[in-house]
Amino acid sequence: MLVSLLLILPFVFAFLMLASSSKDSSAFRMGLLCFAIPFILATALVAIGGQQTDIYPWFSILGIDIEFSLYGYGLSLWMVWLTTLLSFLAFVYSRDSLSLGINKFAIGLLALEGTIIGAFLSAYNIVQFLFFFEAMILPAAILISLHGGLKRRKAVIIFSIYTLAGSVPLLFGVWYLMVKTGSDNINSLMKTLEVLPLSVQIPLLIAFSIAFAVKTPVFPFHSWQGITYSEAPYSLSAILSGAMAKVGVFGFAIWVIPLFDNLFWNTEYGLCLISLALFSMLYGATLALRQTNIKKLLAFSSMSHLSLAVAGLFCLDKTVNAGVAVMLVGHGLTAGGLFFFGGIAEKWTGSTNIKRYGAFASTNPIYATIFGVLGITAIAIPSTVGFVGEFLILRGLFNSGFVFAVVASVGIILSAAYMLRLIKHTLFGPVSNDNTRSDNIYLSQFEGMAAIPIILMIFYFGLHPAPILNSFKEPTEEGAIELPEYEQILEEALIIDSLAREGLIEGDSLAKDSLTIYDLEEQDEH
Amino acid sequence: MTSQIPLWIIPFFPLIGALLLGAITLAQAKSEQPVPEAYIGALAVSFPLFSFVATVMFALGMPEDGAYAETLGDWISIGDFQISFGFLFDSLTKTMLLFVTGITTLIVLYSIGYMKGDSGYTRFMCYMNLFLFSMIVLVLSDSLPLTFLGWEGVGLCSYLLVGFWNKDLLNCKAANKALLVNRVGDVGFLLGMFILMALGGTSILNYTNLNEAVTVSFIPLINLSPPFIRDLVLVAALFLFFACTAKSAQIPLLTWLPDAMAGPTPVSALIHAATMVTAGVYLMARLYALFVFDMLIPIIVLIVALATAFWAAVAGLVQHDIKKVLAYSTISQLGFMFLAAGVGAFDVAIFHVFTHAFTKAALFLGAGSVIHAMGGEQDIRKMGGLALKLPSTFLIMLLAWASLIGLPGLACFWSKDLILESVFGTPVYYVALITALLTAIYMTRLMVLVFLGKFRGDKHTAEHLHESPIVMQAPMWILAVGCIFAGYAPLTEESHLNISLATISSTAAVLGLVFAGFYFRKRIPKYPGHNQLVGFARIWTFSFDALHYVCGVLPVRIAVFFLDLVNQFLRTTMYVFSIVPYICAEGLRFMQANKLRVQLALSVISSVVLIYWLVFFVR
Repeated sequence: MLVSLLLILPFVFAFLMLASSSKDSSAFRMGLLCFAIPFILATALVAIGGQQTDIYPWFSILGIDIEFSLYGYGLSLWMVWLTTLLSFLAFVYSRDSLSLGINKFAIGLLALEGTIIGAFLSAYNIVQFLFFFEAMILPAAILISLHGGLKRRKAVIIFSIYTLAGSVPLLFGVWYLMVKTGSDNINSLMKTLEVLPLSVQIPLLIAFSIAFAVKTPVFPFHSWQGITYSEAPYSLSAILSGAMAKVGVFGFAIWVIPLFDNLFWNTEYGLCLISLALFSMLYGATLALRQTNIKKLLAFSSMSHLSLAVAGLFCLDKTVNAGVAVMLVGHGLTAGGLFFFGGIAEKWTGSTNIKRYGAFASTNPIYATIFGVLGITAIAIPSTVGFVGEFLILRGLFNSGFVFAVVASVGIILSAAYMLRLIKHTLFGPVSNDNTRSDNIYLSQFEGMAAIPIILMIFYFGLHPAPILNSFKEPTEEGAIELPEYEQILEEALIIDSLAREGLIEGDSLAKDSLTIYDLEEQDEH
Repeated sequence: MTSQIPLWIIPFFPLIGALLLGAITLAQAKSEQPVPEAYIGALAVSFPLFSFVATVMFALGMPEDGAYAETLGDWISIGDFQISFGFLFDSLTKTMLLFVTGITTLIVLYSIGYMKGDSGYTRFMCYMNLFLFSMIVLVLSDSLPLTFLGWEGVGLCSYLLVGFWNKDLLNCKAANKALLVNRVGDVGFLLGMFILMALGGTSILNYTNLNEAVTVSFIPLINLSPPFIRDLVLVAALFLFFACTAKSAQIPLLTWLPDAMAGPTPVSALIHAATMVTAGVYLMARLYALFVFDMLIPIIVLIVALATAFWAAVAGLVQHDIKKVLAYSTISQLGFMFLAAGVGAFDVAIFHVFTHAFTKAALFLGAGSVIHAMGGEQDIRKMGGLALKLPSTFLIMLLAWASLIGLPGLACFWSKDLILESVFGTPVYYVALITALLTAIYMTRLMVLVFLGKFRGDKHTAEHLHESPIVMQAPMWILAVGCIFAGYAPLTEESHLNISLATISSTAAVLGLVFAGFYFRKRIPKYPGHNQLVGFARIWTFSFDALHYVCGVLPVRIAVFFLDLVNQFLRTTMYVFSIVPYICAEGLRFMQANKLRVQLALSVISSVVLIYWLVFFVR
């Protein structure tokens, strides 16, 4: 039971780490093992193509049976893999840079990893998802308040209040839906939503969207992000942007889109959400252009990229969904890597201001090469993983509307602009005493080695994205959640239609729904 | 025999070279004893050479009108979205690959001498190999997405090499500009691909399928009315043309090329004259069916090409930087190539790409040799009288000069004449002829100012004037020979020559050279005393820089300003809201019991109440 182990082990290891002391040099080695094992398990899970558990009753409240199940296919699978990889790397990169002791950091990080994995594995029962969705704020907040920068108190308060407040509407929405349904699994919820009137569906959609938009973040719910990312230690910022922010995108993909499928097909709300996400993309890219704080720059860059991923989701196309998965993996690798290496730059220069960096290409070519590769992946040069995702998403956006593709293209040009600016300030320029405060500008063994998997993955998935794409290609197994697909609905509708004409069955409500879609399609063609 | 060798071997060599040299660069970054430059140089030049040899073997073994095709595997494949790594080696690829690999080999050889002693020697060689790999992928690919990989790859290498001397931030600025302007063009490439995909799925991105689909018919592909399809194809072609204008430095996206001269001279010769910038012409020739699909496209292409050719030639007249003169000349000549492509004479366009590659590479390498001798000085106002000091360079550049202005019998004469012939009978012809005249004038001006007259530099430089080493001269001589004979390559179907038209264009060239020869012997521009290479000329010739500023940079700046205000507003709102819980907490603090006794008492009382309630009221 790999998925269960993946969920439990981080918490078990967190308890084990309590036994180590911060003065003990073995704490780091022990931590390495604690982070490596989940990653190995996740890789094994990827290798076998995914897994899921049975559905167990969890507790029951007001007569609603809440269930518990773990689901590790498709997007969940890859997000879990990414989370374990980034957590492992974050631990490696925080080795020298944390004053309070590596073991305390490891405990917090393991708890955070466990909750994020929990959220990614909850693609079937919404209460369980909500539980992890809220729970992950706690370890993140504790980590920031323990290891953060000078304004960490303010950052923690803003981060916790904002994200918790953001999910309140979701809480009410879920509560309402569950009371209506009497169950908390996605299939029942979908059936309930199909019969609900539009006037109820739309507030629900807004409630769901706000919660995930806060987490991603999408404009205008991004205000918590800048200060949180810039006050958190670099390795934590990498996790926040590389893994935790993706829970927001994941929420859109796993909950919003299947639940409100009918709404999106029959009304323009999907297009509205695409527009908002694309505006958010441009907004993030534009503001990234004027940041001088490397963490804030990367925060806005992350916002820009993830907004594009959200826009891609609302194309409601299976191919694009796979593209979103590739993009999220790519973004996790690059954003994580850039945060790690930004942290090293701060260690060298003692500053977060990119204008005080410079000449790392001359003083440390290895650092420059890695940073450069991460940069061009963010720009989405073909042969890196960034390109595959963006290409699929842009193509999906193009099919949804020509204007969308053009707007997204402007975002892509802007992303090249701010990334090149970052690279220029960080890597190039004259060597002076100013930008090399510490004389020993070198990468430690761990820092250099830990970048190797990132670089390899960037090119591997860039040239051969099949492993990710295939996990979206295969027909999902029985009991697994199947994202309703347009063609399939159409096919069913045709069958029901023909049966109904022969008088074999009575058209029930479901069939009627399908038939209306079919009619719409027919109208389009004429 | 060639069928045994797989096609991927051609890009494979430089890729291995790039990886190997990259590894060496990183490995010796901290070491005290770097690998000797001779080994690095030999390694760097051998991979392009292998590639060249492989290409020659394919070319020799290729049957008449035949083609090799090969598919390596899937790249992006999901559902009906299928993009694979496929290579196609036909006659167009053959021509392009032969001169790309050949000239790269020569220029890498030249770089061994030119880059000697540079601290980034190995890195430079690594980038050159990486560039060759990307360029080969660009021309060898059988579909648009894979070409896009090469297209971006060469753009990336151009960025890396323009900003090669990255300690100077001005170079980095030029590099950023090159990549950004190309990025704008790439958007055209992407959108063009999306439109085509919307029409015929991913399979239409394959060149063979695409040309067939466009020429045979688009109607069976999708059940839409034909005029609509026609418009879509037209828009797709225009988008792809937009991408070509960025890569080949045509109006409106031409501003990056003169700035790109900040890179080392071999880079300017290879990337910004002979190979990469011709990728736009290559793409048009590759998608020939798309570009003759509707009458509107040739008209737009012709207008753009003619304006660029003329404009850049005028700009070339007033430059004082030896490399900038050549850069504008390149833009102008690319305009000529687009001219041919615009009227549908794609073989003529590729022919000019071929002859121009030799000529301009020789000119740039000659310029590099001059700069090398002058100790890095690039201002032609400080040169003069170098003919006697650098006789070999002079002879080489003389040959290339004669070829470029179109003196009869030399390489560019044949191709330029065919271009003029193809537009004869239209008003375009006369403008093109004037441009040819201008070409003769600015090139002769360059030669006169550099090689004739008296030396105008300082004494120190005069003492150190020296001819380049043999490793630099040999490739230059080979290219010079190419300047003579490249025009005889059987690349076009029309082998006959229209004597009267040839006479007219030759007369124009001779007129230009005689005029410039006499005019500039007397009027040598004064060196103003400060190192202002761009100066006045840039301002009025490149109102395009201003145009880009107004259309691109300024809106972004304004957007940054306003969005920042929005951001401040949102932040303030957030603070206002988050202050609410604080105020509430402050208000509720009076309920907090501070004394232990009181706390204890309250706990006991509340427990009692709770138990009482549980026992008596809850059943």
